[in-house]
Amino acid sequence: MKDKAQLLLVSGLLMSITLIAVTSTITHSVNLGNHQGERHDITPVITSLENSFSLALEYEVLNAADGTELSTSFEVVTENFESILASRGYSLLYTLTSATENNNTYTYVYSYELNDNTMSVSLDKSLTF
Amino acid sequence: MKNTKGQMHVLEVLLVATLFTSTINVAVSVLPTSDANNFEENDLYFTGLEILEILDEWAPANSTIAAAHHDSTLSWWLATDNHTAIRQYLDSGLSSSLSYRLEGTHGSQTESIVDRTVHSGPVTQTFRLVWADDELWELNLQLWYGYRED
Repeated sequence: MKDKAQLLLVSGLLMSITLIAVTSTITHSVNLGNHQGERHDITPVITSLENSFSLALEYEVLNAADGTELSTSFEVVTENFESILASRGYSLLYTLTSATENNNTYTYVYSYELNDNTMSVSLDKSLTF
Repeated sequence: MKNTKGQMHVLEVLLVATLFTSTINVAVSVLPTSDANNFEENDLYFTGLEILEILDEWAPANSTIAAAHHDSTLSWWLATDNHTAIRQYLDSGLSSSLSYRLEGTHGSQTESIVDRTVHSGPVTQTFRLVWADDELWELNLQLWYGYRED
């Protein structure tokens, strides 16, 4: 009776180990297969943002109605960029740290995070115009 | 006798487990992953991204023009509606086995910059955001394998 119980225990253990091994093998293979031959490079998107975002923000701030908060102008521009990038399959999030104005010189300190669902890049930026 | 039976049982379980694992491994290796990205489409996507990036990063030789258009030839050509130059650039930069169509959305309007008949096969879409003529342009470059029209 004792031998039977031991056998049952060993068999159960072996089956459990096999199940774990099979599950992890399948998961690993599927993950590997999904990304095989794929290229992930978000540099072109970053250069696009770097070139156009600062100019868009500068234009928005300089053409905003009197009394418009600097943070409001920032939100208007970032929402546009975030929306376009989302429609292209990228996740983009801008975070404003500070926005100041001194004798018509504007300084924005912000960061943004760009994600293509596989890799993520976070950059801290400071912009003065 | 009982002991031998038990050992045989363990061996049987091990055998079945090994066979099962091997079968699954072979199946996973041989069967295609249906949701994986298509390599050719992936390649086209980056070709499109990069060809627009190069034109955007390429500063015009004339310093006055460069200053007016933020050191971007793409911005300059878009602002001056120089679609012929854009077409010549894309024609020379893209492989002759590729065809394309470039559209630009700015403000609330979308315009065709280089118009070619869209092939019936799979089309890969790439994009670039460009600041030109005090507006944000969202360029949409459609690429597909096929010879271009003259």
